[in-house]
Amino acid sequence: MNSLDAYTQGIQLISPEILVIVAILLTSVWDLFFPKLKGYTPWFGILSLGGAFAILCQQFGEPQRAFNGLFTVDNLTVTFGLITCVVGIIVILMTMGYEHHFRQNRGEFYAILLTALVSVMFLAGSTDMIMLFVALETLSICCVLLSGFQKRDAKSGEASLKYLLSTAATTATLLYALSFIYGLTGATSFDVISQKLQVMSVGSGSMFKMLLIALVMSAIGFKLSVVPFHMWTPDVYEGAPTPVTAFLSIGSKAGGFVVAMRFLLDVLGTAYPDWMLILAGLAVVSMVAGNLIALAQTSFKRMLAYSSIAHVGYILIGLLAFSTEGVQSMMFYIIVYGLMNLGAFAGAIIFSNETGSDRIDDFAGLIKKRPWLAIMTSICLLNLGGLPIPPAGFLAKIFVFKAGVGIEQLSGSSLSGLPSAMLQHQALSGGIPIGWILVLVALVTSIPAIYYYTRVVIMMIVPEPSEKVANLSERSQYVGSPQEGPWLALTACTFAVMLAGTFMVSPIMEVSRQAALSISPERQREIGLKIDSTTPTKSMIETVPDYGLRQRISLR
Amino acid sequence: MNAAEIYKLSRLAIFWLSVTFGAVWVACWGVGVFIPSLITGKMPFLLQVDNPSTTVVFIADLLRSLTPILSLLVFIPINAMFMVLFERRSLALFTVRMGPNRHGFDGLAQTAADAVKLLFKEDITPRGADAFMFTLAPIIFFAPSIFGALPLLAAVTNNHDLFKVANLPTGIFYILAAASIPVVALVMAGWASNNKYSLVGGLRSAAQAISYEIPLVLSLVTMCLLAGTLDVVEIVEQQKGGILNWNILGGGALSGYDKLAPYWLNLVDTSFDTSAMFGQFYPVPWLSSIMAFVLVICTVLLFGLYLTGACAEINRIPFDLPEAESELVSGYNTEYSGIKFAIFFLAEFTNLFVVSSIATVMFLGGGDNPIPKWILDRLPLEPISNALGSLLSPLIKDLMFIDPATFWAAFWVIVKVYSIVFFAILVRGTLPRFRIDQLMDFGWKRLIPLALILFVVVVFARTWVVCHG
Amino acid sequence: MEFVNVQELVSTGVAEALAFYFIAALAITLSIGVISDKNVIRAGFLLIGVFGGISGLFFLLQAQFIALAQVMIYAVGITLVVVIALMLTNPRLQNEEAEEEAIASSEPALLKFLDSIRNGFPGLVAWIAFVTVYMAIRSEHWEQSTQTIGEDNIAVIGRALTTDYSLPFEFASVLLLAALIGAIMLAKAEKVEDTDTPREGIESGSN
Repeated sequence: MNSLDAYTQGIQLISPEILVIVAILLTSVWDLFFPKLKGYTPWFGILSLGGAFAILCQQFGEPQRAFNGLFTVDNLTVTFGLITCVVGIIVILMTMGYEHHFRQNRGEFYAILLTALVSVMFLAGSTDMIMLFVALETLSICCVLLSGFQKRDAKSGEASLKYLLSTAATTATLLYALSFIYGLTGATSFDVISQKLQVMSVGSGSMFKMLLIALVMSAIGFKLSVVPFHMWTPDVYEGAPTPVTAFLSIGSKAGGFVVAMRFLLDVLGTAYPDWMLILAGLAVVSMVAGNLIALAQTSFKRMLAYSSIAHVGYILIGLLAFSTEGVQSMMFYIIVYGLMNLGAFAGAIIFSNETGSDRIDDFAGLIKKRPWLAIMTSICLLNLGGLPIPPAGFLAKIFVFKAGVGIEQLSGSSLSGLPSAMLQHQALSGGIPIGWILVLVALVTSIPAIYYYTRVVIMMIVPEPSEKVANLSERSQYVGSPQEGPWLALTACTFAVMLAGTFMVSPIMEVSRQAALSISPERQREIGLKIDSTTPTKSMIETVPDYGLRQRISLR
Repeated sequence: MNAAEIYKLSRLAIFWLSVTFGAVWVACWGVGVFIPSLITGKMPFLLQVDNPSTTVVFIADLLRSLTPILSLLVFIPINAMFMVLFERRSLALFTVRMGPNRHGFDGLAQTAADAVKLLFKEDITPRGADAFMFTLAPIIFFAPSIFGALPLLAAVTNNHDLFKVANLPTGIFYILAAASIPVVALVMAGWASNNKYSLVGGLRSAAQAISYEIPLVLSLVTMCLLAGTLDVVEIVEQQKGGILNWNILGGGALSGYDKLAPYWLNLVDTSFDTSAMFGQFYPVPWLSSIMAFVLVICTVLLFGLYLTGACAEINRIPFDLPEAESELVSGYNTEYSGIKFAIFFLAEFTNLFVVSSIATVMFLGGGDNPIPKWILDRLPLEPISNALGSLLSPLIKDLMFIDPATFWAAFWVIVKVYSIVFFAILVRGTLPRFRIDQLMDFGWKRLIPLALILFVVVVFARTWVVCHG
Repeated sequence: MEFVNVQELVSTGVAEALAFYFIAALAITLSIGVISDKNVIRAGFLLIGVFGGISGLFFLLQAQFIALAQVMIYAVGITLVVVIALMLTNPRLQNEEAEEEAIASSEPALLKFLDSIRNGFPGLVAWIAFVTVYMAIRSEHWEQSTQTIGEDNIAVIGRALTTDYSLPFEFASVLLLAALIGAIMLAKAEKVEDTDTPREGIESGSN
């Protein structure tokens, strides 16, 4: 195949992204050239994302490499692309009811939002450090801009600045890590790196590797807002325009998860024993802290911010399982969580548009004035809490817990197949059933989660209307008003959640499984096994310093 | 027209140019050729040594490699003196005044006297100024014009042995990077002076330099695209052979015409089949010729763009807002006096010379003779050059004082560079100053889009035409 | 020491080593100056110097392109804009800081001690981070590349950017587009008559 053919093939593979980029260009100039047709701007975004969705659906199948392996279209890429498209459409719908806050910058908002979405799509498929970094940086810059879009709102400015500063710091750590990896392996492609690291990883647990993992972990942890790196989350979530918060809570996090999967499972897969304990610790802290702090919140958006920290903790259990099942449950959780969360935010937008408040107390008695809004928001919230009404959120938790329990098995009998480095490590960790601990913590911390989610639901249903709600007009006609967009988003999310919990469980699980198979942690384990069988004996590994051993292997 | 004044101006120019370049020539020859040859015992007519000691060879090498810098150090002050005088007299000519005509013969020594006066003035650091930064600023302003101009030296001297060291593969990029440094010094000077006029001047200069650097760099990037290299020596090399090969006329798009013109004009063997050769240069009939024409227009526009950007970059009128007298007293150098002010002054005129040299190298063929080779060959120059050669042979062969190739390259470079300098002075005498918002609008809304459009047009047009690169 | 000629001085690496130590010392000194200088604008200028020093290190590594980009983009472009932004901030902040210090000096000894710990904490963290990174790097075996760097490495970079790495290179333009749009959005002055009327817009349904 000559280079031109390869190039056209590459272009075909990224056609969904190109479609969205065309929409970016259109939306950024549309307001300028056709100021009278401003209302159509969001529809370009929705149409392009819908088109991208359709094209992505065709791309399921064998993994394909494009642009010399910089961009890979496998099922994981496609699945994350689909998630991004759906999130994008819903966020745009939400924005249509929120854009009066942006005054004359509406077109620009959609352009930057679409850029953020397309960068998540590229992030999902990047299998090269340079591509990964450029995509991640685009995502970060877009997020900064989006959170500062309400120019006259001091809180929005604060959110933007906080996000900027913390993202700059974590970009630095990530770049540091990437440059170390490049220095170590001399390659930027994930494949080559993971091969070279496998050769080097025989004597694992070196200080340098721990440093690498810590640096990578801090960058990923920031994007996912895992606990020690979560400081920005509440302020940014509260200050940013609500559709942006919705996007940050799932769109940019999806980007973080895909980086985590590709980096931790694929590139640093052989270092699993090294990062496993750290990540498990982070997950536990996130679940505990996120849920406990969320209890004390009075602002709805802030509560959702803290609870999102906790949810990331749950999702990380799937990653820690280091198995196809784990990744599958993770994907399911991400999809379902995204829908529920977007629904909750859409409800918050409609509510705050009408009352100008997002305090939880002000939600009181909403059902008397806006029954459908209250009911649909309640469904989303209850699912976020993990209650089986319908059981989407419940099932997501169950799947993750099941995968988490599997971690224990790994430290038990099936160990004989693992690389000796892992064996050493298991001896070190003394057979602590990490999986059980994780699941136990998750279960216990679910109790406050259920409390604070149902508190809002009860608030909406049981007491007398609050002052703000009582002042609402009787009319609750959303269709045809500017509230149409968020209303549509809320309805769509609620229905999707209900479907995901009932009829669509097995299709979503199947898609998740396909995605999980393409990252395939098991494959990593097999490769690790091969290396293990080639190394002379276990005792040699302990006695020979890794410097000499590595030379032997590279000589061979 | 005022013929007498024009005559006086040309007399002044010729006198000062001879002084300037005579001094530089002697300095280069002395340090680069004479002393090394003398101490290593290779000089004809003088002491001969067969095996010089290693230390001596080392010193000789060191001296040779220091020649480029030394030549600049000699050149810059004398040149600045000439340019100031030249500018004043030219402006006087344009505005029908007399200009300085007292000191020396018809005012020839005016700037020399000014320089002496400046050096002896008291050097004042105002109260509240940050003394360290205040002193550092003129140095940072001046230093880039020395080390930034180094690669140009190799380009304008036909890659002479002495100046080869200074050439870099990143040539023009290096020059641009060096040229971007002085703006730091302006901001520094403005801030350190503890004076509001200075501060505003410094900030203005930064805004202006950063805005106008973009069209400037884009125009040069486009030229590099046509040339296919960043190496200034190579760029000059490509443009050899007359005006039709110069970058300003399509970056080599007209080279085919240049090659074929003698055949068409029946100057040489007419039986030669020109169409095949024409096809090599312009592969697609008609379209290629049209594209060559488009390229010529683009490059001429790019030249204009470069000159505009350069004018703004070095704060010349009409872009001299950082030192607008009527608004800011004297801008960033309000508080400077004595030798520090002299350094600022020196660097400003050196910068003018440097940007003119860049234009010469990038657009006007460096040291190339503008007359096409096929005309030059038919002129009866050979006997003259032979006669001159035999006359000067002791100078050329024995003393290595004059290298004819370098001499002619230097000659044409001087003509071209000072033409551009004169043009800048003409602009100064003609155009009023911009207002700051007009300046920004002009830069961002006109020049940058124009530069981008030209870039894209050139990228596409050059696929149809065989250019230098 | 007797040198044979300049070329040898360069090729044996003596000159290079000397230049490295000089530039490295300069960069470190300047960067310490950046954090210790009370005057934030002067710190900004020192930062420009640090970038200049780093560019010098790149020059020594024969990465001319990166060195020059470092000067053009970081030293002159970005940092200068930051310095200018600092100049537009409130100069009185510095005076307030001085007042704070004056207050601090009159505090009781214990508070002073705690203050000194608080002030020293970032430095402590920085030292720990430095020691960790240093030890980690030293603990690893680094393969040295035996490839010689070609004269024409700028052409290699250009080719890599337009062939192998064309996708990130092109995608960077999307990044820049978003950044440009965002920068203009943030900097653009809003029309005065476009006042804050979200509620009415919603209520009347006119948007």
